[in-house]
Amino acid sequence: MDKTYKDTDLREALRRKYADTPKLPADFMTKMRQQTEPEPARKVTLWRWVAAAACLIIIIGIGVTIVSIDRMTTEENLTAKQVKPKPVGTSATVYPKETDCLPSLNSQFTQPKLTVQTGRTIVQQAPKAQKSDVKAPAQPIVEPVAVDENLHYAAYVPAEESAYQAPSRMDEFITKLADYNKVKAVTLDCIPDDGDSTVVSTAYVFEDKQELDLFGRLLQAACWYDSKTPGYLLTFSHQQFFFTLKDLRKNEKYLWMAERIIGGRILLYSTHSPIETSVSSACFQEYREQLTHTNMSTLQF
Amino acid sequence: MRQLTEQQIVEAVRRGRCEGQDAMVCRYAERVFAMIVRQVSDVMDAEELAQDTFLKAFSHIDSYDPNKASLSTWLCRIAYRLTLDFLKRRRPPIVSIEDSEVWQTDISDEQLESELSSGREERIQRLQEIIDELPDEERMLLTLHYFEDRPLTEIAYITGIEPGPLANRLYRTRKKLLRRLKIED
Repeated sequence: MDKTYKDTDLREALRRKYADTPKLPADFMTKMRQQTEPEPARKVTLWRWVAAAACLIIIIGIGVTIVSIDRMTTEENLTAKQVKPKPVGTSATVYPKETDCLPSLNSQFTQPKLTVQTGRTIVQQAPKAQKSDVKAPAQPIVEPVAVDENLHYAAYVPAEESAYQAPSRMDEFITKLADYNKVKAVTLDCIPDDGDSTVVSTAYVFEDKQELDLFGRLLQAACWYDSKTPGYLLTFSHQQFFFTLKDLRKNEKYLWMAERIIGGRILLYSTHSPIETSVSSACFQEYREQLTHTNMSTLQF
Repeated sequence: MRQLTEQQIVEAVRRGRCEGQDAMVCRYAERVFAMIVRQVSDVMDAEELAQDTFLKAFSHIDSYDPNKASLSTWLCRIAYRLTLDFLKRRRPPIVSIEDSEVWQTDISDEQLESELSSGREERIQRLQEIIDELPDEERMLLTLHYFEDRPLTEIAYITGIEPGPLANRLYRTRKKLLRRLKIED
């Protein structure tokens, strides 16, 4: 099969014909590299578009969720039943802004008192402005049919036009969440060097459960606040959550830190103090070390 | 730099590693380009076809079977097809009278070999012209066999034509060349 023929005329003709065959261009290798390199760049670009599309979908999803929660709130209010007044203290109470601002408005408005339950906001008392001096008859307390103590607190709708959100609401939310999950609040003694005892520091140790989704809830709560709020600083990762705010009305600053620690737990640290007070994280670190050390030493190998 | 073996090059290209691609281009680009540029007169076109050959090789490296052919032959197979496609797009197929006529004269391989080995200068010069007038596939067949000294089994792999029909085609092409030479004599 692989027989070769001499055919010398033919060979010579071909040899002459191809004698001046051009050589491979010197930059061939460079050109080849250019041909192969744009591939990953294109992939990166594609991934950017995919990421952008995913972000857009998430934003739309959040929007739709918020709208549907609002709608549910409205519907639930419509089906609310009248009950006897309940003793105060079973639900978080939120008061709108302090009287030091907008006094004229305050003189016109009675202070509405909001009760937050099951992700819905219920106005307990006749909330709106009463320009006349005629007092409205006492309204019965309205409560939703379904009561779920595990709050979807983010459904809070402020009763006033101002964008002000009291940072203390964050603490209230954490307190309620801890109560519901039977997590004890540990008060830390974080008195600074100057002996200012107005610093209030509390630590909680939550179980890192998917049902609880503490990081998600904290983020959700952090979203109540406009990023232009004084002292606003929010950073988070899978491992840590860090959030600070300042309340210029009360002259207080707030800090919340959460961290995943060994043993499938989340250590949540909350502190607030006067703005001018310097607060060290030393006591939090001490507590953290104590906690993790204790945990390590009790591990059974 | 450490010289990669053919197997290592293939493995590296399979994994999408640059050094594998570089090594493949470095080692075989000259041969692939030369094969293409003999058929495609324009250097730029030949360069592009050579690039396409390697890009196709990178993306189809999984289809390479080292038991069937060497890496070099496999690359030539890709280059052959790309070149042929390119030539078909660029110029209408050449159909000579001999293609449609059956040249009844029976001639043995030995007689043909003797006729095509005359050593006469005018025949050699005339053959150069006749080769240019051949259809692309026939010209490439002659180049692969006579100029690159490839055995028919290897050419069969490159062209995708079974060795038997390929041998027949080579015989017919040689006979065609001789007939053209005889006409002019």
